[in-house]
Amino acid sequence: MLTSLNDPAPPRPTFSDLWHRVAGLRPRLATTVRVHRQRFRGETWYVCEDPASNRFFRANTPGYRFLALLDGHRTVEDAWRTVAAALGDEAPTQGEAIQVLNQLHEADLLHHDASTALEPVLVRNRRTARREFRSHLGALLFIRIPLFNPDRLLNTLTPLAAPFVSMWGLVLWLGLVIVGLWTVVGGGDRFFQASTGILATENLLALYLTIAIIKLAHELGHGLMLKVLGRRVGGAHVYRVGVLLLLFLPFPYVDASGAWAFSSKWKRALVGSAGMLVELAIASICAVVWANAGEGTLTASLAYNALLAASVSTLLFNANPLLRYDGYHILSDLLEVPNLAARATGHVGYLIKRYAFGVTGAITTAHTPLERSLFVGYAIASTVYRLVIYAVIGLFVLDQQFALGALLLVVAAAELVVTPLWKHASFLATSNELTMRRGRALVVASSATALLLLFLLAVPLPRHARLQGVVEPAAYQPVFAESDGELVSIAASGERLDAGSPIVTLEHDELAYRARVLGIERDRLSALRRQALRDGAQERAAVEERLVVVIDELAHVLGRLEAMVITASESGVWFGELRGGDLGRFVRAGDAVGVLVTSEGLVVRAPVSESVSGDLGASQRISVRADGGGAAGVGAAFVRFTPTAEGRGPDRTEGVVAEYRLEGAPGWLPGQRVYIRARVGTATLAQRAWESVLRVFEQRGEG
Amino acid sequence: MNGAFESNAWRSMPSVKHVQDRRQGVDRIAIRLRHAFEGLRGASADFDVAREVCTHSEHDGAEHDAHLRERAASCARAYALGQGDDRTLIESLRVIRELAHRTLGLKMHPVQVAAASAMVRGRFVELATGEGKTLVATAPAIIAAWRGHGCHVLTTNDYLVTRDRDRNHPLFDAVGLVSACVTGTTDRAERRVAYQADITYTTAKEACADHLRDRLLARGERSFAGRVAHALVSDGAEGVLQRGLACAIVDEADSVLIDEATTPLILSSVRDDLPIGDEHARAATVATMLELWTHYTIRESEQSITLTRAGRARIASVTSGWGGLWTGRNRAHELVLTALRAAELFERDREYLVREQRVVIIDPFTGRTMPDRTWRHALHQAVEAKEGLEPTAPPETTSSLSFQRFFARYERLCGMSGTLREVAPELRIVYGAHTITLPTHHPLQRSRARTVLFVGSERRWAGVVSRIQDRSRRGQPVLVGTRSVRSSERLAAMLRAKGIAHQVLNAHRDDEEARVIARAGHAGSVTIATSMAGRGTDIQLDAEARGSGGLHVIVAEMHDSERVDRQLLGRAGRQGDPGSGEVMGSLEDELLTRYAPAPLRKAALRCASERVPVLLASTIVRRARSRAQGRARGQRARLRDGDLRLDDALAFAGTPD
Repeated sequence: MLTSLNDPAPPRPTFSDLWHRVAGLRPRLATTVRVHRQRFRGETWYVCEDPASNRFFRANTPGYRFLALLDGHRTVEDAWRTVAAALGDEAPTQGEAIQVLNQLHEADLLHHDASTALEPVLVRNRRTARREFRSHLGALLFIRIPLFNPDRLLNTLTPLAAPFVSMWGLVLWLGLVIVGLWTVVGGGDRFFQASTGILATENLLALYLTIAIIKLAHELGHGLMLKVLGRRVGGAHVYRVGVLLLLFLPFPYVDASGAWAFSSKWKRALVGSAGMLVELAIASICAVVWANAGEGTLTASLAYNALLAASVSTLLFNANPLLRYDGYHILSDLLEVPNLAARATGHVGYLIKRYAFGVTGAITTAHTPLERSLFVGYAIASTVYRLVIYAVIGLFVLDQQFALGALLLVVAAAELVVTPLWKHASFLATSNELTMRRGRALVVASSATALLLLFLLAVPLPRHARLQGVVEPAAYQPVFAESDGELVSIAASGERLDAGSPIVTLEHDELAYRARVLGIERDRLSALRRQALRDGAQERAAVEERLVVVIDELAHVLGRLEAMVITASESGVWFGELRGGDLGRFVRAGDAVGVLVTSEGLVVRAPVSESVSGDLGASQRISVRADGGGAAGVGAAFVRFTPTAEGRGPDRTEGVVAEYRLEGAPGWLPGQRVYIRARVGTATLAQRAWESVLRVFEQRGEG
Repeated sequence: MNGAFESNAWRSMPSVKHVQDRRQGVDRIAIRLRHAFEGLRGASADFDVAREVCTHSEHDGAEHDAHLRERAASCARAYALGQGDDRTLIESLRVIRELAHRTLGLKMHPVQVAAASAMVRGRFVELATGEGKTLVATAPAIIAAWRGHGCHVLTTNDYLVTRDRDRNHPLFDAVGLVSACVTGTTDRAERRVAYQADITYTTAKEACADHLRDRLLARGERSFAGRVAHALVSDGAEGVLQRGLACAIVDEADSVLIDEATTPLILSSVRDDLPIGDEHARAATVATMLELWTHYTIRESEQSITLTRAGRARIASVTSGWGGLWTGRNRAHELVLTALRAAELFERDREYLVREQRVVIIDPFTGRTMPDRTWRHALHQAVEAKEGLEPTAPPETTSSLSFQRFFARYERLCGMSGTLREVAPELRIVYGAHTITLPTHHPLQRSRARTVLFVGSERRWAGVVSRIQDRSRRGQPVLVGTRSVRSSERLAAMLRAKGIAHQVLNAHRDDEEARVIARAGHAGSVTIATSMAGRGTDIQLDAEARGSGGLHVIVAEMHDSERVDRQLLGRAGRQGDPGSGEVMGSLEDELLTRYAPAPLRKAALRCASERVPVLLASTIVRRARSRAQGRARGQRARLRDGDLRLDDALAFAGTPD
């Protein structure tokens, strides 16, 4: 392809030593080729498309003027001279003309009369095939098996899909997505908690089928969008549907490269994003289904599978331009920076070659200052993102499906770490570009590697433990109902109470009635006793005996009645478990009513596993942050460990509870969930990685 | 075989047998390891063969002529039938050695036999200068000829072609083989006959050009079958010349396969519809209006010129309104840059000389003129414009072929030279052949003094003159090698001023070559020469000279390529003769100004004495040499890669030339 020319102009020698090989040819574009005009970055380009083979070539205006002159009768020499005379500097140089012809030839878009040299073509094909095979083997990501031509199928479906590609369709889609988002966010933690079971062995098949169906919908989305938009410009074609082997699991794919025939980049973007639009709509529907189905039902789990598959894969992969999926292609098209990722890498490579290795002849792939900064940013961000996303996914899967996770991590490490390292090493060792600078390049590269290793192995970095804890008062008394009864009054939560003031008042009609009955009985028995004093001793003994029993019982009942009013034993602040709204509720003896906080201070208590408790005792610089409440942390100090109720830590191992005293008054309430970040000594990155590997194995051993 | 069907013409058609592989990464490293391993095994097998051959020396010596010929015939039969095993090899070498002794009066010593054996096995052999390479080449040539389809013995220049063939043809006659030679002056009919001979001596350039011409003949045919048919039916003077590229034995292999191979061979026709000459004259005037460092910059080490922003503006203002080629910015810059290159980087009597109103290029490696060669990319016209000569019309390429591509087309390729070890890795990568270095047969009688490095060039010349006086007074013949024609003339002037008798050999006086060389070995004679006197030159000492210590070679001005200097030094101490040599350079030599590490050179320039201290001098020279060599190697690698890549890119234009 002819590159656009900006200052500083790279040398474009007008003549080529090889011109004599092509000068006498009389080629022309293949008869099947259709040409579309496109505006791209303020320039007009011509896309030559062969609908039969679905291959494309893009030429700029001077390049196309040269091509257009090739009619099978004119020689290349004539055509070139004509263009050169007409366009001067703008005209393609001989070298560029040869390049155009060659690329057209490679794309099978050129007819000409010479017998092609087969050897180089075969060698090139073999090399390409081998390279592709290697990259597939490395990535296990992109084995495509074309199956059939879906054009007619899509044609019949198009009328059904057409109404959705409209303003109303957009409104409908937005509505769906908002509802779905609302459901997931409103559900709070439930969404994330449910994810733990997603990779359980018994769920895997269901998950796979769900993903396969969603991907089918995704691909249909691309195909149909292409068809619907294509209707207005005289037809677009989808020629291939096939199976994509992802980790050996088949998923459908559709070849929607026909979108390149659209002249508007926005239309191309729409085709590119159609799959994600469909997926997000599905995710939204599934979110609603999941939230409303009973927990644990089959419907709920299937809906959850679909929700997770459609949303996560879209947000983390497809829509994300840092990975090379739909989002990336759309971005690179919209920015009008073709081949963004490769050129970004190329530009970074250029920077390294030019400034670190001192290769003066290095050529950058960036043409404008904007591209330069874009490329640097993109190259770094995408590398970091890819490393992080693979590591996170690998560890998540490792936690749930050990073998699968390990395989994923190995594959990711091979693809993202080993292969690039090997490539760089062999570049350093054998590249001709470095002939004069190999010494310097080796020194720079090995010292950079050494520095990195030093950083990983020897530089201790502060290590932080992250704990989840609960805010609790430093000293408090739990208040329990001492007897059964109906709640009649209760102090307001947060109210300051003096010692002896009532907190809770209960009523128990039956008991009160019984007290009255017993009182009457007591009075009656007292009267009988007085009468018996007069009448004789024998009667008296029986009455007195009975009276004692009744008095006793009365005392007991009265005692219980008295306990119906719970008073504060000390002064403090009351936090009720029961609220004003609970009035009239029946409370049983021993039920927790609330707590009376007798001291001003708050503490945070967090369960920790015993394996880390040792370091935590000596931890410094502890900061506590409320759940979802801003970034500002509150200082805290370690107080002590107390045994947990169940004797287990947060990760199902032996554990204790760590208690921290807050050093500020953040206005938190007891019971609030907080996160504690404590610095526990230092560790090198390698040490930490090793520890996390060990932890995975430990947990497997115990869990 | 069908005897009636003699034509081998189809063999000149494309056999893309050795498509050079641009191996990358692991493959490349693996191949290097394998070659390193092969290299370690070295020549032990060849020495075994040589031992076996030489033990039967007496028995063979007593053999009757007729019987020897019979043995030769049976070897020939074995090779023709493709049965050439180790026994046949030993037998053949025994016969050839004995016959060479009888016909040429020269008996191959064991090292030469080992070299011959290695070459039969397709190796490149480094044989010390003056070890009798011409004789060695006969054995592999004969064996290759026995295999059928002929054998090309290639060397660098026409003089060596005729000399070598004339020396060796009695031997070829004795084994019943027809030998012939092709030089620049051979006409078409003679060429055709010469190529039909069993053994053809020629230069690489002629062989390649004839190959290209043959392919051009059949170019009209679009299909392979058409080309084969064309080759079969064509006959007579109009027909194809060669009968295929079966085997090449390359003498001076480093020069032919490495140095020359950077310039592709181009067949061109002159076209007259491009009146471009005036434009170069105008470009030359524009170039004189520009100032170095303000309008353009030169990178000394890369030999490249770049225009600055100011320079571009100046060109635009000067040429505005000129029209024609000057309307396009790109073309205008190209023209001016070419003119600047011609003015700044090409010096008369260094890169070229002017003879009969024509610019003649001097080969930087051999110091010889190359009258039929022109620079490409209009550089030639720019140089002509600079010299104010009538511009020649720019030739239009009709066909071109790089030498590495050409040599890769030979089914068998082997070679020899006095200086190969520096380029052994490249020979491996490009031709897939191993290089072995053989020891000298006679103990070397050549003493080499330490390299002397003067601070200033003037002092060096003075030093050279006094050394010449000193040596020639002792009766030693002295050969002084200079890098350019200009400096050789300059030194000659200095000697004239001192009244020292001397003779000069350079590109200006190449017609006197044979006479000068013949006299160069006389006692007390002083010869100043460019690298013309290097490669292939055999200086015969007279008795007096041999007695007074043999030839003394002074390398004044070091060449970028160490091999050129080694070749020059190799003129002394040939075949057991005594001799001595030394290098007298200066910090102002091109090699050092371009490639010496700047801090070292600065340190050396501050030296109080006129000579740089020995240790510093040797470090500077070593570093500069390795950098120069590295750059040259890198350039060649890039050229090769580019050549292959472009060829891939031109697949649609049919098979390469």
